[in-house]
Amino acid sequence: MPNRPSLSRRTLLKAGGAMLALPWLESLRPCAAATAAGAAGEPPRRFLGMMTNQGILPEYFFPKTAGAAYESTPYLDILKDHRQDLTVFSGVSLPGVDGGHQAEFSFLTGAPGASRGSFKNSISLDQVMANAVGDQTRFPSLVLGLGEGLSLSYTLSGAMIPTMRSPLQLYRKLFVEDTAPAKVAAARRLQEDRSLLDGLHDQYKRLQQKVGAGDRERLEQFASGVRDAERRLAAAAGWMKVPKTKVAMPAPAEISNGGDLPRNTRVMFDLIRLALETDSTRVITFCFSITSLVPTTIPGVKTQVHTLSHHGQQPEIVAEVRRIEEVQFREVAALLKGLSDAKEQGRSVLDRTSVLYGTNMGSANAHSNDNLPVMLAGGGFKHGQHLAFDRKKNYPLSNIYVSLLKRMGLDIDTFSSGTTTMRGLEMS
Amino acid sequence: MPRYLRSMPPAPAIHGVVFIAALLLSAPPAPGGEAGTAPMRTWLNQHCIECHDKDTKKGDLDLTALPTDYSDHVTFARWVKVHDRVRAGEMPPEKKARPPAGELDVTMTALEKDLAAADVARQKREGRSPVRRLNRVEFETTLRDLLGVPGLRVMNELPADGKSHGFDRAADALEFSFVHMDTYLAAVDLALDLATPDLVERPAVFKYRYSPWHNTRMGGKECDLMIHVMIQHRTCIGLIGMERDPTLKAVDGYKLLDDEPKSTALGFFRHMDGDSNYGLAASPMLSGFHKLRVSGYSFGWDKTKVVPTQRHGALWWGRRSTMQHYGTVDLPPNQAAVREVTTWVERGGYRGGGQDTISFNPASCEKIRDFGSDKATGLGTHGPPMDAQGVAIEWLELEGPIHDQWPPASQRALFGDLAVQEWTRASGVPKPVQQTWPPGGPNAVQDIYGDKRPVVHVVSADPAADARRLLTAFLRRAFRRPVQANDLARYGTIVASRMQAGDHFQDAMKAAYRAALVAPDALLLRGSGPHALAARLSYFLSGGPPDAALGKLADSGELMQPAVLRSQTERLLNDAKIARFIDNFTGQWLRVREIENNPPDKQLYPEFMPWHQDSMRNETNAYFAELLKDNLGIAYFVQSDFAMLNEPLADWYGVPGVRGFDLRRVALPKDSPRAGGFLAQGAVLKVTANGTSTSPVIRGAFVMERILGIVPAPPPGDVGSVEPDTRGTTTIRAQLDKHRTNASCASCHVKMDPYGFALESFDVTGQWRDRYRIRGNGMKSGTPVRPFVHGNGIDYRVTGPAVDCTGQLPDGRPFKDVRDLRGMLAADPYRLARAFLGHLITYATGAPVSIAERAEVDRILTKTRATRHGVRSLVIELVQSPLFVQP
Repeated sequence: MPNRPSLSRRTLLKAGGAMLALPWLESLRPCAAATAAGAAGEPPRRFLGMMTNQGILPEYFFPKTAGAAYESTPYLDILKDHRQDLTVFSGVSLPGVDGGHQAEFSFLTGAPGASRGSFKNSISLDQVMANAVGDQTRFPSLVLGLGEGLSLSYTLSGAMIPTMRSPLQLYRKLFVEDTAPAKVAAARRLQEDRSLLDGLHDQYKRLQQKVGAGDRERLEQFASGVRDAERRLAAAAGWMKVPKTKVAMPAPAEISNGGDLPRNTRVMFDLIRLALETDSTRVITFCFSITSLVPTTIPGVKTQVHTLSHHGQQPEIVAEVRRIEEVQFREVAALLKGLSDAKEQGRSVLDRTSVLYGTNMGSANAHSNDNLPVMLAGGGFKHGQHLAFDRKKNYPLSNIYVSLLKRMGLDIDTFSSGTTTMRGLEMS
Repeated sequence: MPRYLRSMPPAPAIHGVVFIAALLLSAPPAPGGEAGTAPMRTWLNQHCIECHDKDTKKGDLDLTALPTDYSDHVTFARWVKVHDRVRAGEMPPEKKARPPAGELDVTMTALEKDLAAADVARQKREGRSPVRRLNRVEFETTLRDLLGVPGLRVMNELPADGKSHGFDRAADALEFSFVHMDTYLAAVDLALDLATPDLVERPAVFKYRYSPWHNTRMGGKECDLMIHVMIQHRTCIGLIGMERDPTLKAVDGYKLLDDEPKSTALGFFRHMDGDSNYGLAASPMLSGFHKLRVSGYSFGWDKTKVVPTQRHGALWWGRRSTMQHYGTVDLPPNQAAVREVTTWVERGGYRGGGQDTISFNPASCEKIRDFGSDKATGLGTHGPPMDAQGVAIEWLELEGPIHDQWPPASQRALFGDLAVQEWTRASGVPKPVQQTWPPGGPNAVQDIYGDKRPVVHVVSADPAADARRLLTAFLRRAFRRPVQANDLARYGTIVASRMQAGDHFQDAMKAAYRAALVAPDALLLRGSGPHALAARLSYFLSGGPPDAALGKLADSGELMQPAVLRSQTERLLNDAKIARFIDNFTGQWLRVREIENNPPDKQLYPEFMPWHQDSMRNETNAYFAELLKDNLGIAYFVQSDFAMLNEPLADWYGVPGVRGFDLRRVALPKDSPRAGGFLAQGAVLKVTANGTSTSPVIRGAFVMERILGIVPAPPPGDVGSVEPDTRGTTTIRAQLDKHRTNASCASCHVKMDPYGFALESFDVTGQWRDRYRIRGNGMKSGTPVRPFVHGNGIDYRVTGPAVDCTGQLPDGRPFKDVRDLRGMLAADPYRLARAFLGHLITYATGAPVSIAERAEVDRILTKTRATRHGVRSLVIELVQSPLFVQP
C-alpha cells in the first residue's frame, strides 16, 4: 500500500487511540457504566445506520422544493408522521465512491475507488463509534442485515464484519441466558482461547523482529488483529457475569421464506428497537442486501430485485420497483414510530438515536453513484427540512459522518472524506 | 506509526491520475540526480510544462511540483506513469508538436534506468513479494489436504478477500483483523471436529435404491417422494419404456391407484427451481464418499405421446440449501443407461441444514408446469400439451460410505498408527469429545448409528512419546518446513498442560493442532530458500500445501536446481490438482467466478437455464485446461479452431452436431462466431453484462485489461453515466456516441469501446444476435423461433434495433465485426503473451510486474517465442525465472 496521505488519518488516530487507551478489562463494569450515564442525567446517544443496496427511485423520493416547507413526495408521504423528526437530503454523494454496485461497500466508510483493481476499504463510521463507546454495553455494536451477506461495517483494516441475519439467533444473543453448565463450558473455552491468542500475539511480535521493515509493518496488522480478538473475548468474559435483560417479546420464528421482505424486515426492526431500548448496544448497522431476492409476498411483485433495478424506464417495471420500495419505507416508518414511542427519562429513544437511511446508487438503472437518496431521522438534530444541494456538483455526504460522530459526543473533526459537519444540519 | 494505521483509502482519482494531496507537495526537496537532472528538466520544460505546470495542471499533474524522491511509492508510481504514457506516444497529445524521436528516446531511456534502479533498491529493501496470509480458498484447501477431510466446507464462513490487480493473492489486499482471527479459528475447529476418529472399524457400505413408487415414510404416512412430486406439481407421467403408462394414477399425494404399478420409469418435464424441488428420501447414515447412481434416459414428447428423440438429457445432483453441486451426468436418448458420480456427502442434512435432502434435478428439462390432470377423475396426468423434452428415471441409488483406505486419511493425519477403540469408563481415561454428527436425514431408512453410536477414542500407551512423534509429523506438514526443537517445545507444552487439566490425550493433541493451524508458521507465506519455493510452487499450481515429494526435494535443497524445478513443475501441471489452479485463476482473471451474479432477465431471455450456466463455467475452464495441456499458442485466447462444447452449449451457440452433456473438443471453421477463444465464450460474455443489457464500455474495458493488459483509467467523477433503455427506442451505441463527442470522454473511450462494439454481437447470455431483443408480446411479432418456452408464451421480440458491431481500433484500423477484430488481436501474439504473463506473475507471486522487471518479462517471452508463447511454456518458464524463484 503506497503511503498515501489522507485527511482521515487524524480521525483514525483518534479513534484508534481511544480504543487503545481504554483499559478494557478494568472498564468492564456495565452496571457502573450505565449508572455513570444516568448520573450525568442524560440517556445515552445512539446510532443506527441503514442502507438498501438496490437504489431508491429518485423521482418518488426527492422533493421538488427545498427548506422546511418542502412539498412532499410519494415516499415521504409514507413518513409524514415523522416529518418533523427527519431531514431529507438531495444533491449529495460520497466523493470518489464509484463503481455502481461496488459503491455498496463504502456507504459508511466513504472509501473511494471501489471500481479500481486495488480498492481497499477502511473503517466504517459505526466501528469508530463502537471503538469509543462500545465498552459501555454488552455488545459494542450489532452488525445486521437481511438477504445476502453484504455488510455496512468494516474493521480498521477494511475487513467486512459479517452480518447477523437470523432473527432467532439475534434474539437469543440479546436476551436469552445460557444454561449453567453451558456457561461453565463457555467460560473455560473463553479462557483457553484467550491464552491461545496471547501466545499468537507473542509469536507475531517475535516474528516482526526477524523480517524487513515493510513486512514488519504488515505483521503489525496481524498482531493487532489477534490482540483485538483477545480483547473482545475479555470483554465478553466480563459481560458473562451480568444477566441479560428480559423482554416481553417472545422468541421470533426463524426466517422461513427469504422472499417475505415485509415480514422479515419487521422482525429485524423489532429486534433493533429492543436492542436500543434495553441498551444492549448503542451502535447498529442494518443492510438490505436484496440483489437476488424475489419479494413474492408483496402483491404485484414477481421479479428479482436486481433485474428490476435495470428497469430501462419501462413503466410496468418501475411500478414493480416502487411497490418494493414502498414496503421498505413503510417498515422504516414503523421503526421510527416504535423508537419515538419508546421513552426513557421522559424522552423518546428516537430523540437520542440518529437513524440514517439511504442507498448507494442515485439511479440504479444507470448504476450511478451521485445524487444519493438519503435521509436522517432522530438523534437530536433540527429536523423538518429538505436540505437541497447542487444536483450537478454534489455536496459531500461524508460530512454527515462528522456531524454524527460529534452527535455521539466524540471529539473527531474529520472522517474519511468528511472534513466538517454537514452544512445546514444543526444539533437541537 | 504502525502500517495498518496508514492503510488509508486511496485518494480520489481525477482523470485517471492519482491525486496528489497536500502532504506530498511539502515533501523534502529531491536529492540530486534522477528526474531532477538538468537535461531531463530541460526536456520536460520544452514539451510538457505548457499543460502540466502549476496553473494549468492538466490531469491534475503539475510536473514542476512533482517530487523526485523515488523511494516514495506514490512519487515513483507517478513517474512510471509519465514514462509509460510518453513512451506509448500518448503524450504529448496528438494536437501538440511531437518531440524529436531520438531525443525522446534518450530522455525516456534515462528515466527508465533511474526508475528501474530505484525499483531494485526498493525490492532489496522490502522484498519482491511481501509476507502474506493464505486467502480463504487456500485456507480451506490447506485444511482439507492437511487433515484428510476432502468434504470440509468452510470457505463461505470466512470473510471475502480483497483483490489487488485482479487477484486475491497480494499482501496488501489480504488484510487481517479480529474478524479473520475469529473465523479462521472457527474454521479450524470445524475441520478438526470432522477429522476426529468416530468409528473403530471400517463401516459397512450402505446401498439404497429406489424406483419411482418405492414407498418410504414421510410425516408418518406412506408416501412416495417422486409420485408425490408428480401429483403435487402435475409435471410427471408414468412410462413403460418409450410409451406413456396411462394406468399410473394416484388417489392423492400419498397413494397410488394400482398396488403394483406397471410403469418402468417416471417421466419429468420440469427442472428444479424455487417451487419444485426433487429430493432423495434416503440420506447417508455416515459422512464420506458416496456413489450417486441413476438409471435413466431422455425422451421426446409430441403434445400427446412419447416420441423418439435425438437429444440427450442431464441429471444434476446436489444440495439446494447449501448450494452444493455434486455432479451432473449425461442421459442417453430413448434407452436407459446407468450413470454415476462419486462425491463426498455428509450424513443427514449438512451442519445446521435441518430437513435437507440430496436433490436430483432433471436439468435438461424446461420449466413446464401445471399441465393438468385427468379432468373427469382428477387422477394422473396427461403430459404437457406442447412439444417438449423429457427425462425418464427408472431408479436412483445411493451407495456408501466408500473408504479406499482404513483407517481413514483423517485419522492417520491426526493420530498416525495409534489404535482407535471403543471408550468406556473402564478405559481409565477421561471421556474424549466426540465428532459432532449432523442429525440423521428426515426419512433415513433406519439410522443404525443414530443414538446407539459408540464412544470411541485414540489409545496411547505412552502419551509423551506419542505426542512428540505425532507433533513432529504434523508440524512438518502444517509449517511446510523442518520442525525445530522450539516448535516441539511450544506445542508439546500445550499437550502436556491440557492433559494435566484433565483432558483426554486426543483432545490435548487437538488443542495443539488447533494452535498450530492458526499460527503464523501455517497461516503466512513468506521467506526464501527451498521450502518457501516449494510452498510457492504448490500454492501456485496445486492450490494447497506441498506434497511429500516436494517436501523431500526442499529438504535436500535439490528443488533449487533448475532441472529439478522444471520436472516438478511438469509433474504438478499433469496432476489432477491442477484443476484447482485453473478454477482459481480463470475464475479471477476472466471473472468467471462471478457467473452466478446478474441472472439474465427472465422475460427477455426465458430460454436460459441453469444447465447453460453450469456448462459455460466448465467450458472456460476446459478450454484453458486444453491450452495448458497441449501447450497451444497464446493467440488461441482470441482466435481458435475449436471450442469445448456439450449439447446445451452447442445448441445455444448454434453449432450443429454435438450430442450429450460431456464437454468435448469440437473443431470449428475459421469464420464461426465461436472460433474466438475466450472472447466467444458464454461465461466471459455473461460476466461482462448485467443480465438485461450489454455495455460496450464494460466489455471493452474487460478486453483491454484482461486480454491486452492495459488497465483503463477510471472515469472522472464529474461525468454522467448512461441510462440504459430497453424500450427499443434507442441503442446503447447511439447513447455512447453522444458521450464520445465530448473530447475529454473520447480520449479514453476511443481506446476502450471498440472491443466492446465488436462484442455487441453477443447478448447477455453469450448468444449471437443481429438485432436487440425488446420486451413485448413475441407471439404477435412472429419473430421467436419457438412459440413456447417453459410452457409459456414469449414476452420478448427480436424486432429491436439492428446491432452495429463495426468499429475501429485505437490505431485507426477499421473492423466490420468480431471476426475481423479477433484476427487483428491474434496478429500480435507478443502483446497477448505479455499481458497474460503479467496476470500470471501477479497470481503466482502476489505482486505485479514492476518497471525493473520488464526486461525479465521480455526474456521469458523470448524463450517462449518458439512455441508461439504456448500457455504451458509460459507457466514453466515463469517458474524458472528469478521473478518466481527469488521473490
